[in-house]
Amino acid sequence: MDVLGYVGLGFSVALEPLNLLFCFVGVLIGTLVGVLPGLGPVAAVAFLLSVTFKMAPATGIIMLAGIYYGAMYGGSTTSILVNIPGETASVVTCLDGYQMARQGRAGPALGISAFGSFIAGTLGVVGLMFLAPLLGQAALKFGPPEFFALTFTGLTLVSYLSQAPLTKSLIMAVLGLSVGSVGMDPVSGEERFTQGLLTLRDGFGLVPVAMGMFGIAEVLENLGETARRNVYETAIKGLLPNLRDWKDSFWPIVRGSVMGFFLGILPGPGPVIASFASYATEKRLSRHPEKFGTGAIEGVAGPESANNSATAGSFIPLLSLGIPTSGIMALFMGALMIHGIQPGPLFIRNYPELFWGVVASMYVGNAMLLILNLPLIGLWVRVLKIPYAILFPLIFLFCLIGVYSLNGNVAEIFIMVGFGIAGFLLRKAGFEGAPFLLAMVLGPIMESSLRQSLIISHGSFSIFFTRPISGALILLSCASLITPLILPRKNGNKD
Amino acid sequence: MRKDNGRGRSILEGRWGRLGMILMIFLLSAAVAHGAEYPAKTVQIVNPYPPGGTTDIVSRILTDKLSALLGQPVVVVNKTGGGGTIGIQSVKDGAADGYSILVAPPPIALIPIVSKVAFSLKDFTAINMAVSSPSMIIVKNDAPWRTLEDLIAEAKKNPGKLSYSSGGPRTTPHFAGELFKMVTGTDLTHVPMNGEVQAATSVLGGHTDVSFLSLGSIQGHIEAGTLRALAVAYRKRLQAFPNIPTTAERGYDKLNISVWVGYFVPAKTPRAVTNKLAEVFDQALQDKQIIEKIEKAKVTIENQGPGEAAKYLTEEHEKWSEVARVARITQ
Repeated sequence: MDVLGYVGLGFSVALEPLNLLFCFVGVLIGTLVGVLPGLGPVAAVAFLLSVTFKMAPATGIIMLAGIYYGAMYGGSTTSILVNIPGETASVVTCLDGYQMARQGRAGPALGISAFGSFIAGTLGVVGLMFLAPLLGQAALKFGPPEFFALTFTGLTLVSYLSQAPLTKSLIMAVLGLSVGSVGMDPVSGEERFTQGLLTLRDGFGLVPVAMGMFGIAEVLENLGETARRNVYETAIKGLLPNLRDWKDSFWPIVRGSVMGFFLGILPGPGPVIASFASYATEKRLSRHPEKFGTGAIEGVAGPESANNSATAGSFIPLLSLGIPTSGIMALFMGALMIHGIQPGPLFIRNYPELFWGVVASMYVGNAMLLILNLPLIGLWVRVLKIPYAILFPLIFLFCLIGVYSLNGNVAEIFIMVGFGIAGFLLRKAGFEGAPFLLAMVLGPIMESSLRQSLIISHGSFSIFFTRPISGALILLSCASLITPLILPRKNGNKD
Repeated sequence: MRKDNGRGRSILEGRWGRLGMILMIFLLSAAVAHGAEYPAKTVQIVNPYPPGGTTDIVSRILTDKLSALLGQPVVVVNKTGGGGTIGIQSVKDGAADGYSILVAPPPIALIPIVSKVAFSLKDFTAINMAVSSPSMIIVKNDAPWRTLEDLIAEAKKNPGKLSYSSGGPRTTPHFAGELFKMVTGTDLTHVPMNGEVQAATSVLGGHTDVSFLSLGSIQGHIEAGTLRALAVAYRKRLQAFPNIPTTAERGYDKLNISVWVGYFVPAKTPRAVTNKLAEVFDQALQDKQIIEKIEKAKVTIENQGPGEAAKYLTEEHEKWSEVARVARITQ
């Protein structure tokens, strides 16, 4: 059978009435947990995992996958409307999305995230169909030195994530790296800074920290300020992106989709890293970087596309190699294993109806999400009319429930609230959370890959330069660090 | 001593005596009823790891049958965190009434050996050692070593040059690698990765040379031929792979490593309750449908009752304590 034959087979599976129904159920739940801050796809998939044990394998995976990419659609909603990310992958959407909402442009912001997500989802599915086995093999080339180089590149982006002065961004990045170093030492296994607390042996969780720094801190900030309320009394200008918006967003969507797809393939929280990388790239390439952080639509379109295509990319190692690269992929692996299906190099060949069916359903699901989300924009914008006195306690409640539902661990609720208070105070002092979060995500990966590399090379640093991928990445990021130091001087001379 | 007793009157004849007896009968019958009625409410299987892993899958396969046998719902609860310590600790600290059963893999034995935690194997009674997945000694498909002897010879020729990847410090593959070094008298460099999956990936990508991973996590790659298994560290050859030799037949019978899944209750749990649980687990693990489902999940049924399990765990504890001591895997 050729590829088109397989695509046909896939759609015949995806369009079976039962699969269609559960695909819809999945994307609906996904949108919901995406919209609700704190509640996330990991907890929702974990919760529904046992339900899928009674279903046909394809139906179960179709539903669970729907939750995962559906959450990426929903995640931007609260980021834009109330400056509280629905998902960790939508943290960066707050930067410009919320500013757009303050200017009465919540509609176009929501619209471009839905369209961007759809385009990214489509490209991601196409990539999954034609490139999965190939890219799975390529991903194996990424050993410890390559991961070190990649995270090194990632950290050079920190300064693009904030409106604050560079010093403040760097202070926040150092704080993020410090918080990321809490937990077991990746080589010796000794406990670091855990204060004897069992919860901290695994380090601070990304979700409690992100929800604290961005969710709880925002709630606290609003407690003190009644003035901000009038922001939304500005007229709402249009519900859909206009031609100008589309022009501005076209390339960010394309770049975000491609970048997200490739970053999604690599281990770690792919969608989170992808959204940060996309934002930084757009700001770097933009002709008017100063507009970022004040409501630039590129800053919404890029990251929201990136986090969606990253979900498609993250299926590649699982489906083509049997390697789950994140907690949520481990859940999908479990959903397959319970049916006696071992994902691995032979998976696509042995279970074509399952692989192609699930991939085709992702396309169907993305279409459903677009149809589902566009009419919702009007509704979401009206949510802003709900008095903050009602809306914010509700958001606070969902954050509490969401964090608890993750691991059933009360200590993580305290961690979230603690970071909420810290985040609030830092904001008051003019520090922004985004560089902190990126550093916290990248730090542990960077540290363990650095140390693993040096163990493999018996202590020689040449390993980072003699391997092509890692050498190229390090050179690239050094170049990008040096160029801004040279360019402004040139401009200065001209003036 | 009371005077009435001295006069030969039975304590049962006094007013207080009668009341006492009624009370005693009441209490006794309540106790009997309580024992007979276990379980009177939902029974939890506490899994200290996230859903989707072997502990989770095996437990979820068992719950329906266990519910039917116990006449009460049996549910799996994931209490994740602290590398498994949070869930294990919560069962140890919880009520010893049989309503919280712990499902745990080797870390329940390994963690107390290498780090300061407030539990040890002695705090638990094993009710069943349900399944195991033997560890395989694996290399990449294009590696020059065709047999276990080739690998050992290479390692002896160039001490410390070959590297092995583990799932991180103090994980089962780390212990397994150190046991390999001890038994074969070789030196390999330990590269701790972030999880067993990454350990397999680094061998697949050629970043490390060898790893010691449970069959369940790499079976797909052995079938596809992308990884080569030099030996299985198990007492007998595997049905699915009759061509892969065991370590024992190559003369390394001490190199016996399995990732097992056991069910535990706190040591203070009443005997009646542990007996009941041991009985239902044994029945469930003999059920044909369950056996079929579990074997599909790429693990081997062990179904060892409390006595056998306790003996096995003692051996495990001794073996790994020695490895920890020799390899200096300590806090």
